[in-house]
Amino acid sequence: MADALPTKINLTVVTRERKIIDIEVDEVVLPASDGEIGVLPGHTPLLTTLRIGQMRYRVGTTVHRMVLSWGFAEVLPDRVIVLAERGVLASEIDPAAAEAERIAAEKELQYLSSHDPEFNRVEARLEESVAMIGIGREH
Amino acid sequence: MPSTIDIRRRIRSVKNTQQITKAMKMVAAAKLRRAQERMFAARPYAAGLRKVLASIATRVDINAHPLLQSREPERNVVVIVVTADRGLCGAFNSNVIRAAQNFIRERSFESVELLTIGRKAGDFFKRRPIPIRENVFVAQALSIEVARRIADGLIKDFIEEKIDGVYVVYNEFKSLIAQHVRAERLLPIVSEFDATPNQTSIDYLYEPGPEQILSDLLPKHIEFQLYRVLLESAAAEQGARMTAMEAATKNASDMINFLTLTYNRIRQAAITKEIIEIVSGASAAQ
Repeated sequence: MADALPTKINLTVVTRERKIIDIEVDEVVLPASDGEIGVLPGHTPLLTTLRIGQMRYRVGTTVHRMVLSWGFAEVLPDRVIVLAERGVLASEIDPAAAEAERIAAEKELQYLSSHDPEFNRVEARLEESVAMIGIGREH
Repeated sequence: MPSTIDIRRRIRSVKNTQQITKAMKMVAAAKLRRAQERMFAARPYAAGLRKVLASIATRVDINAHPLLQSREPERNVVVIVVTADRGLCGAFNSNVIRAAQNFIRERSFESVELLTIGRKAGDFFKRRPIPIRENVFVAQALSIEVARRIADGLIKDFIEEKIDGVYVVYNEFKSLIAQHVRAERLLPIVSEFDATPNQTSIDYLYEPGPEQILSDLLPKHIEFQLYRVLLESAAAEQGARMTAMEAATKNASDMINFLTLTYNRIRQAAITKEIIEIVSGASAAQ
């Protein structure tokens, strides 16, 4: 191979409101809509949609986590760009608030039929809070 | 001739006004900075979205997508008019409203519905014959959630062919002191994605397929365009208000100077008159 494989990935996560992270990492695991995708340096170019879930990224031996809600990711050999609807870092998660959100969303869901346009939105809120609680527990 | 007391009172009143305009100017400057930051914060996302769309355009015939199909003639359209909630910002609101009226008059659509963003646009068109689809205040509208809700409704109506086009008339943020009224088409999407495959030589894997990604992306694109317009207009509003208040403060200073001069003249005239009276009184007594 002419070019040596990159040894690091530049990971950028942006939402419409802010740039959340822009760092060098060793490994990224994305919550792609068809299942999790692990990305190491030198990955084949890939475009994928994301669902609500956890993104993990490893710097050295420490693994960091964050919650992403929908969006897209562009994977290049030395770069991962995530365009997310919403992104919350593990350090920003308030487990109590997430739990309260989960309960509220669950309650609301009981009264909505699955045809209601609100249904998907509330369901998304539920999934998001569950993902946050998941991260909160592991910390 | 006005009395000195009257003039003093007026000077005091103008000074008060000046303090208010000065304060408003500083508030506008602070808000402008915040609005600008939000605009800048949205830029990386815009760049990313554009790149992804461009790269998909090399693989899929993006122009075949329903959201990019122009309908001729455009019968039913929605015009989004973006103003501010408040006045005291120069010609900011009236410029947009006038531009929107001209726009509607020039194009002969069969039916036009308005979607007004900002109290000023809502109040103005409420008393006019064009039906208003919805009126949102800027204070509430400046969020992605609202942009999404509005965009979703419009996309749905567009796909169902209830409407054939969506235009937006707003103030573009040119610089801190300059705004520029623009009318843009939001739907169908103006194709700026060149389908020539030499833009990006990268051959991506797509998950799910490129068509699926595309139909997820385009609504996001519209949503984002609308959000960007709202941010631009909000920043332009603060810029316009800052300029207007700066001018008002300066006018107040000029007014105070003039009134102070008049006040001193009258005071001096009164003193001179009194001296003359004393002197003439004294000479008469001799």
